[in-house]
Amino acid sequence: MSQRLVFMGQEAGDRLPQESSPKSRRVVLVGYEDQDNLGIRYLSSRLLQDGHHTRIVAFGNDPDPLLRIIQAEQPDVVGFSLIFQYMVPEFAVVIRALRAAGVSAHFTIGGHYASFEPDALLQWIPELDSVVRFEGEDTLAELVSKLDDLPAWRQTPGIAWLDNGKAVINPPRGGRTSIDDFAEPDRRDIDYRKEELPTASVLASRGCPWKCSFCSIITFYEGNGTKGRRRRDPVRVVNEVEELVRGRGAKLILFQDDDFLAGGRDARTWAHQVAGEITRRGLEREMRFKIACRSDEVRPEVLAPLVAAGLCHVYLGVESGDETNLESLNKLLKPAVHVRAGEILRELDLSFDFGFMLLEPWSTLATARNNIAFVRDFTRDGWAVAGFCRALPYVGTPMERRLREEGRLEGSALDAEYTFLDPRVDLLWNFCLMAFEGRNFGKNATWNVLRGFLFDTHLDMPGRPRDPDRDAAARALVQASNGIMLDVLEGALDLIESGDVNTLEDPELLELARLARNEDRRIRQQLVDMEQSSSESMYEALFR
Amino acid sequence: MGHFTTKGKRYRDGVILPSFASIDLMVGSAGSFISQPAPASLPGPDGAMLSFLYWDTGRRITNKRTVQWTFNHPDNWAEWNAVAWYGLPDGNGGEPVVTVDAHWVGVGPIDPTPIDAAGSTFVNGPGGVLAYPWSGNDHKVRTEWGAATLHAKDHLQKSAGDPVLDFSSWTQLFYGGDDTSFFSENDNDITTPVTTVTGISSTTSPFITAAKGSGGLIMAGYVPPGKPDVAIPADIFEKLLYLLRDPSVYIKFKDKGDPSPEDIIRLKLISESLDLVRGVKTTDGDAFEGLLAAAKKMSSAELKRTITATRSTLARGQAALKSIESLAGKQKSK
Repeated sequence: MSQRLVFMGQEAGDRLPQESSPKSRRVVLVGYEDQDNLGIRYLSSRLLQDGHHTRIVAFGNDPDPLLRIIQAEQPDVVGFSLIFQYMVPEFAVVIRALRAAGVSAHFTIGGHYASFEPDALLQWIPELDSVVRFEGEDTLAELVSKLDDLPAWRQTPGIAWLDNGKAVINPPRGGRTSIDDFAEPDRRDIDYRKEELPTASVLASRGCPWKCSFCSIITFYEGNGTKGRRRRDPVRVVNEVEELVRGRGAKLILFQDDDFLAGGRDARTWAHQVAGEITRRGLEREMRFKIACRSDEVRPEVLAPLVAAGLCHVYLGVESGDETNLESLNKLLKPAVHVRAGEILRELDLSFDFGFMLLEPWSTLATARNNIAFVRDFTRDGWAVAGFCRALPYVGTPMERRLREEGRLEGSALDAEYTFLDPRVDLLWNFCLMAFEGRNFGKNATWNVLRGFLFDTHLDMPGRPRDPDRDAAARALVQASNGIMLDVLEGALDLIESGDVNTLEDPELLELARLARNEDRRIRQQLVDMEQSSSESMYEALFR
Repeated sequence: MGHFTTKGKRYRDGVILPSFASIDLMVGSAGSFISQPAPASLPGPDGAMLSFLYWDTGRRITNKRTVQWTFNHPDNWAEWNAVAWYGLPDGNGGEPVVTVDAHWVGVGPIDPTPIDAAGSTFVNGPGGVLAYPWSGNDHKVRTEWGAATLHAKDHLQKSAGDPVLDFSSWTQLFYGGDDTSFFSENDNDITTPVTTVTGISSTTSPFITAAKGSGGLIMAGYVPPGKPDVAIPADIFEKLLYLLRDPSVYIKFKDKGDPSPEDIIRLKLISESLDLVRGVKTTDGDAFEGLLAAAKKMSSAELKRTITATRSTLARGQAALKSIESLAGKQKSK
């Protein structure tokens, strides 16, 4: 599909850097590629517009494959996409290895953490030449165009750089108010038809108007001076979907919008326009799609047109089933809203999964117990996989700021940690790590595999009809996995709350952990036995 | 009448230490016992002083220097060999590194690592430095950055052709041994005749924690598998009986609608049928007698775990049933 840039608006943020470099640069962009990494693919398409040569490389902990590519490509710039602060050490190892091997290209890095803490990041990895902060397309394009002129590139708005060991943070760049101006992501290197279930990601909007305390999305976009959610033209969104489906063979579209329905009535109208455009073109006969949203946005009349257009799965940001936790997380809703959302999704025959934090920094044993009861009820029929994590204090979030104010964050920003106000909650969390490692945590966790498995068995589309027995089998296996986890968790909570147990090495806690781990192994094995023709890794990769 | 011996050997090569006061005796009468304190150190074959490391009592491993064997069934076994193992203290150079080895009880040290990496937790160092395997050695764990919780492999094999052994125990070892009190060993469970006394499986939890900054040696004991374990299938049936006897649990199941309790039993039987078809170990002999006997010894916590495990088994049975129905449907449509 050809791209045409539209220049519109009068604000500074709307003006693109017009003076594209006469010199074509070679740029290697490195990032995690579990699903299409739209962040670096948008960067790449922006650079392509200016006539540069780009190559996208998946990040791996072993620097050797990347080094070989760099030695072959001889890039002028290597751009790293850093998603979470906890990955900084891994990026540091790779970046240092590249420098040690003699790579002299300009190294730059972007992403949420890099945007919020460029100073700390540059001190941690001084081998970096610059940091591109916040929405990076135009900043990176300008930086690349000015590389020959050191004083000039250091004036690029929106970057940070080291000057004799001291970080210099340039004024931020205003973001574009219309994101329709961005070219579609660069997907040249992806062959969707090779995949068992050809799956592509699409971003129909950027930003989120909600102010959840654990999330840095709103702060990230505020850094660019943009507020709320910027939605793309529905027709352009569906143009992209159509190209992916009819031109590239995609069968499943994952809308990666943080919240597809956020923004009140206007957003609902917009979502229905997207759905209407899909059905007008008959695309629902050829593909299915997935969205993410909040529980209070799940209403039958809102979702019905989307279902008619091929919506098959919803990711719900549930986060907690305890009222005080939800207040602390600033979710602005009650647990009953989640329950109702689950009922509606079942009535619409949609599969769903959800994010859940068993514990947040102000949790107590009582809130943990409420959460366990909530998840047990929410997933009682195996319709969704129960899993959980603990709230992490990401840089740039209100939660991180509050913990700092309370003097509860220990360690550097990179590995900031907190303990709970009640040490028994710490013991419960440490038990979770011991009992459910492999089930809840890690890339290849059972939770992930089962989410993908449930999605796959529930999927019903032309050429891929649902097998009700297989779907029921998957739900029963999920019930087993949910049940063992919740029973064991509740058992541990009982022991800890009774006061009889105060160490992780208590024999009864160890026995509970052993039961959970052994049963999880059996469930994984049974999944393999049940699905002899499919590989577990496919399910795992689907929602990673 | 049984033949009982003790010897001293060098860790890990098994060279016999002549300076150790060996015992070699015939045990004839039930209720007799013998106690042997092992010296804290002994000269090795090359004159170097070796420190006591552990006793392989013939049935278990202990770091205590003194073992007391009590023989209540000497007519039921023919040969019983115990060994005191001695080694050169190796503190990993004073580094916070734990060495983890495996020992075939009644035989000697074996090479494969007993660490189940997937089931264990480690705290890695800055920059992604791996705590395990430390320096590429799958017997070593660095504890500098945090405690490690080690999970033992359920099974281990010395080499191809040897029996696949079952996990028995974890023991934290200290050179020079534990000189407090004594370790009590016996033959109480050998109620039917055997030729050679062998080790006992699952005598400790499969988890052990190495504290942050700790070093030293941790030993995992492994033993040959016994005859089919009637306690396992018996346990399953007892869980079912318990569930159906306990009104409150019964109500919980009824609340959940289908499957009915009768269906639950049927599903369980189907699940076991599947196990049979797949060659997985199932009920052997009269399970109920053994199970009911075992149930009487269950603590409250064990019963709770039993219920948890049973619920999972039932759900997995239903998953298996639906999966079979799916397969049958596909075959029918061909």
